[in-house]
Amino acid sequence: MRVGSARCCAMAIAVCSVTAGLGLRRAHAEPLAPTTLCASYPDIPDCTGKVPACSLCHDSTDPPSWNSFGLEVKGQLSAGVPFATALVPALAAVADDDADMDGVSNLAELQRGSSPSVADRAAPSPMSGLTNPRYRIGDYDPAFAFRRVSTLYCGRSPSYAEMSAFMEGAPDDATLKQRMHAALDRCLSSDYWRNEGLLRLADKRIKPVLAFGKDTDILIFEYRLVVGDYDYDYRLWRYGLSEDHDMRELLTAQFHLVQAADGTLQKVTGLIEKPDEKALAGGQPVPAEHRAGLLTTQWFLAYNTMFSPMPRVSAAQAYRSYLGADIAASEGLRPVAGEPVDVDKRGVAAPRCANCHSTLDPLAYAFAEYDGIALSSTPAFGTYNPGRPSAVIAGWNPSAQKSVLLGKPVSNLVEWGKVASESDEFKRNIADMFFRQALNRAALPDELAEFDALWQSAATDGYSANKMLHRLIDTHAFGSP
Amino acid sequence: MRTLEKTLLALSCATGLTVTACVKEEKLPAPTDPVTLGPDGKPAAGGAAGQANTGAGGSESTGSKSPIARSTRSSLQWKRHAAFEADLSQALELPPEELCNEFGADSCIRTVHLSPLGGHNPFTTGLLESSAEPLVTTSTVVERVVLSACIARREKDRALGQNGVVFGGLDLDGVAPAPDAAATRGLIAGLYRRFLARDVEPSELETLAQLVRDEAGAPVSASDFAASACLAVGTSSEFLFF
Repeated sequence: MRVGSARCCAMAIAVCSVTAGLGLRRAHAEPLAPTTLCASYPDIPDCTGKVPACSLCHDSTDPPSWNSFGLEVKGQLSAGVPFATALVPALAAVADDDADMDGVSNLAELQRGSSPSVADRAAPSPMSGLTNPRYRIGDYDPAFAFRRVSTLYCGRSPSYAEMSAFMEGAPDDATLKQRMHAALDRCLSSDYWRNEGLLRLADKRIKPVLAFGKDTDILIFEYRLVVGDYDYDYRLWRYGLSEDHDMRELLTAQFHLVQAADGTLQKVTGLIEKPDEKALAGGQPVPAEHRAGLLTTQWFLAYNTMFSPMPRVSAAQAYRSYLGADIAASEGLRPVAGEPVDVDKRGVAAPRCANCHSTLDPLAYAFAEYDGIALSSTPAFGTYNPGRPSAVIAGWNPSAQKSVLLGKPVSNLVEWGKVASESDEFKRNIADMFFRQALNRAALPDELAEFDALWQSAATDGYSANKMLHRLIDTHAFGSP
Repeated sequence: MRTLEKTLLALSCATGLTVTACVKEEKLPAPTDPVTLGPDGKPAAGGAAGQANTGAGGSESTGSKSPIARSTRSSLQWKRHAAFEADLSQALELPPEELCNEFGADSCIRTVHLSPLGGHNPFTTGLLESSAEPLVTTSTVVERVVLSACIARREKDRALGQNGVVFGGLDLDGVAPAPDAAATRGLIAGLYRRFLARDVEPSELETLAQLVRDEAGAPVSASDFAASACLAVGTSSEFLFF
């Protein structure tokens, strides 16, 4: 299959570090291909609010092995030519090939957001003139969508009376959609959504552990083993993603939230003491000006950084949870020149490690100014401690170790949170979370246009998660049976 | 039980949104216009939810002479624990804590079988995400929970007699009424409204009405009919997916 007019676009479709088999003797510890590709072709889906994962070309990066598409590209690379230079013509050469032999060219697959190495399922078969007495198969079906809205966001299906009211008066589609959006508004303010549906989406991001929470009854000597109070994290999560609040505050809030007796959330900006003298920790010890929403809660810092001098786990968890890139899965790799310097002498500069650490370590530097769990004469849990890096990381050079996030230098964790919250990656990740919650899968290639519109409207919508959900239920993907 | 199994199979093929595994040899009636049943359990004119496209139902046309268009997007969603519990509770007018409890102590849905029913609890089990797909025990658990809830409702209604909420039209201490009896049709129509939020179609009515007889054609007890009809609708794919 040829894609003639787009052939020129193929030249930079190199998403794999294919240098290992090139005859180039230098091992490329930093994966250059993802960012190289996206710098040249920012509009393909894999470069919209993300960068491609190594798995687009690789089955494995260490030891290196390639999938069918990667092998095609690799086979076209010229020996003795610098990787970035060699990549371009190699990709042009394979653009019109079909590595997975599914009838769609490599380039067309990348342009539509499918994998060039995985044969796609056959396209949906035509309906052959059949009809369905209940559902509008293939079209947006308001009644079908209404049931989904109720089930997903109210936590229950509509009753017979509610379905009857929804259909009452033989309404046109516009009226039905109006009713559906009104139902969504009711659901989004329901107890189910605020206190169950929405919170369960946070679990893998907050990672609570009952034994270390504020109510633990586990004792160490006479102290309760409270490492942090993750209820603050859950409250901020709920706050940022409800009531038309600004979702960016998940990563920028310099306040905490307490729940009043009537269930409303109230902001607290001062330091918050631990719950009682017998608790090891709890409360919120980071001063307001050094807070960055969920990135600087006591629980996040204490649980993720723990005893590590270099808080790589914290950085990776933040990157995964809020920007949608799991470095452990070779996602979101944006290597920083000169990194990793292996500041803590852990051997991360070795090629097999540098592949990820060239991105991860610069992400982590900003977290180093915060204690995880510091056991000294005065134990500290998740505190701000600007002298910490020099004190606990032998090779730390304050003028050299600068954090870089998404290609942008950031001077501290507050700025890290701000850059992250403004990024396409953040918006896309929130939209992807809601999309998957609704449909139990990512957007399909033919749904990517409306999916991209979903997250790209975040700024227009005041970064309101509720407005994003209103857009979601209008999508063909959501409402088409 | 074979009658019940056949009925469950027929209902599982009903929505037109399920996979195409429904058997061809089940010669089910062709789809007809939806109807509303009157107080006597017989089809009557009018009714809102069952008439137009309610998004709620389907027709038992799989394998019939008039196949219907099926979804091409495979986007049917699994109704997970919270909605499953709320819908069962809503349908049978039972508080969640009375639907099903293992050993009379722990909630089947919220505690014991939470994971197979598509939920997770990070605080008690350490699971941070729910299963993406139903587990191998999911279908068994669903049947166990629905049957428990149906029996709980039935026993409450037995005490309430004719004022029973769901099964009040049956003499639960007697034999099941005839297939075309008003009590039979009324119960089935009521179950469809309660579980599926729509009116039953004639073909579905005929299918479920078979449950008043056993394989030999002898009437079953009204109590068994009540539980099996409730189980059949409550475990239909239309109730379990959305």
